[in-house]
Amino acid sequence: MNGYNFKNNINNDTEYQKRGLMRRIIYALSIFFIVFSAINVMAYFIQKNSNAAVSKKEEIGNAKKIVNDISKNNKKIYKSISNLSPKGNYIVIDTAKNILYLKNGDRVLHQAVVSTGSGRFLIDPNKKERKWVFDSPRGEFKVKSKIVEPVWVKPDWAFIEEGTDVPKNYNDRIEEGVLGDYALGIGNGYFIHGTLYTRLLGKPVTHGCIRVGDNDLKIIYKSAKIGTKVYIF
Amino acid sequence: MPFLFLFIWCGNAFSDDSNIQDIYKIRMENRLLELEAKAAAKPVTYVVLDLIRKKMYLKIRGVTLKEFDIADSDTIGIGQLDEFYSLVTVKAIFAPKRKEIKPPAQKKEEKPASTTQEADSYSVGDMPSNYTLIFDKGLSISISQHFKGGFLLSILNYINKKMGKLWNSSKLLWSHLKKTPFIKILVVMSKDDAHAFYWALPEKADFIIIR
Repeated sequence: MNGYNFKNNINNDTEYQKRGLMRRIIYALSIFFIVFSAINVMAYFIQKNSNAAVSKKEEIGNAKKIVNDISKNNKKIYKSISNLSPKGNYIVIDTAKNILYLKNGDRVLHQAVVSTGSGRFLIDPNKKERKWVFDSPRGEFKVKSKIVEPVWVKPDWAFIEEGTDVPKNYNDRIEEGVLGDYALGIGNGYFIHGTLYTRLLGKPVTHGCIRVGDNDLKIIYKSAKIGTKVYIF
Repeated sequence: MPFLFLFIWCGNAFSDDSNIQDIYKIRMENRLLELEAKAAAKPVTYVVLDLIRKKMYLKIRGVTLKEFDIADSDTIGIGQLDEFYSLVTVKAIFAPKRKEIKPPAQKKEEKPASTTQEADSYSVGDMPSNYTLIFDKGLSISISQHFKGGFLLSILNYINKKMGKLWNSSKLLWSHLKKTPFIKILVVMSKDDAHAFYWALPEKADFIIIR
């Protein structure tokens, strides 16, 4: 009998503790819910009052005339924005996907898998203040030069990266056959060119230039003129 | 007869209201077009965040370069959002770090097999999927990842949204008391789009917001 009572007491104690805990959780949730609701309601009214004040400022008289005038103006602005968009073929390069699109208006004429900037950086071990970040440039560019059988004039970073001395003679910088059959210059030493490393197409591995496969490069080279817009993002 | 007057009065009241709406809408459209014309005049990319169509457009010269889908959005704050907002900074807990190229220590006589780094490049997958864009004029846009999957993940999305709302409503109250501007836009995107948007985000980009 005693044993039974003793066991029953334990059950009652744990039950009591459980109920106490449940009660505390319910209190905490209720307080949280009330605070949550109060904050949201206050925030709602602050926003509502502010927006209502703006609507009241509008004029009601001559509504049709106002709407017509603004509509005409809107059409003008829309036209001016349309005039800014490129005429003829243009190139769009998506550096996130490593894809180049040759477009005309909204139409995609050709699509190519490319390699863009690796985003890595290099510091000159001899001059710590000299640093290069190998990103493809972003924004609007245009084709400034078209070159057949281009040669690479290796910049300083190419030698530093290899761990060799930077040559003093210009001719020692020239390397043939690494840029493919064609190159399109877009300014500041950046080119859309061919590559020997076709297995790396689709990956961001370059020093900022856009590498394209041979067949795609031929199509892009033929379709682009000097002045063709290039958009990189 | 009194009903007729009441009917006419009601009709006038509603038509005035619809006129106000028309003027307001068309003025807003005009303002947004003016902003876009200014942004498109510069040779840099800008962003149009359309909360009505639930889309985010990366544009240049009026041309849409990329379109991102928005799974969910919410706006908390006071203001019309009818001006340019310039991106000041991007805050992310897991911000990506650029990797350094370590040139070989010893000078080599022979050329290396390839000057191309095959591994360790800085790719779109390294970008964060949860981050906050801080703008001038008290605006901030919080981008978070939409969890796709079963019932549990949809609960996670819901809790994430509600907690975000609570936190930002509290901040709105605090800003209201301090009389400082505060507008927060919560944008939920797919993981891939959140990565890609972070990657494509230009520094100091101009944002135009449609809501």
